[in-house]
Amino acid sequence: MKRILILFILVLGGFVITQSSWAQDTHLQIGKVIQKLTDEDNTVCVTMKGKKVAQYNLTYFKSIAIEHPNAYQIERIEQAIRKDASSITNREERTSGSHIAYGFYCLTPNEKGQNRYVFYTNNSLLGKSGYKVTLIYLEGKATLTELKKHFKK
Amino acid sequence: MNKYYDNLIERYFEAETSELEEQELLQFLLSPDAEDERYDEVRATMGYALTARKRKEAKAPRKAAFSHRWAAAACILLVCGTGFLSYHLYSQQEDCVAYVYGEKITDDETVKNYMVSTMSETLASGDDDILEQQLQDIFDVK
Repeated sequence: MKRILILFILVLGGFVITQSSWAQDTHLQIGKVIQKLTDEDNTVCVTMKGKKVAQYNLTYFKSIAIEHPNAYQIERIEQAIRKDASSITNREERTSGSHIAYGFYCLTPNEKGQNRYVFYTNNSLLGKSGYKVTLIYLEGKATLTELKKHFKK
Repeated sequence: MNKYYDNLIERYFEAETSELEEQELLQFLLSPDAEDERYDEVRATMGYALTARKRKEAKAPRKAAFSHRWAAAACILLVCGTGFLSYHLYSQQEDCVAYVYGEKITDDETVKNYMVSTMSETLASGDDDILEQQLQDIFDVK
């Protein structure tokens, strides 16, 4: 009976460990809000990881772009960023009134020692055309220079 | 001598005898010294009690084995279920997927294009001169 109990505890522990290792970004509020808004009909949500993003020296990429966002969606995202503030080690942010116009944040490295970044932009507050907000979460060893080299127009 | 056993018999019916004393009494009742018919009642009672006890002991191990088998089967089921659920959850976490206005896209090239355009537009935002310098300071980490 004792052996059966030990086996049960091992199985349960293994399940808990495997689940937590796959949780990647969901322990962040940002990750949760992206999950929440993915199914809405004005969003484009992209998830790429592993070999698919290795060429950019990244291990994980998740983004959500919302066209013509409503006040609720913007508020949810900004709230998530504020709640994750304890993980932010460095930031560049511009606000317009009480809203974030753009924000570039460096978070504490993950358990594998990889850099973590969050990028957020709200076009309408930046004087750009189109009304769109974008939230991006990255993990990897890439530096800004490398990211710009790959992505900046 | 018989007074001793008479006393023991009395205590047996009062449920005051130890197991050792019961064994002793049983030995006496099976011996020629206890052929007297006044010992028939106690002989019958002890015989019945012993038979009932033996039947109970015979049942108990089967019950324990039965519950152990159920516990083992439950654990095996749990292990298999956990493995299946874990595999199912893991396979749901796709490497490359986009949800475009609610529609799921898994074509690698299309998803990559969305990723590239999202990053390009975002990095092009902000005050370029200040951004360039400040991000350089922040993000040139190894």
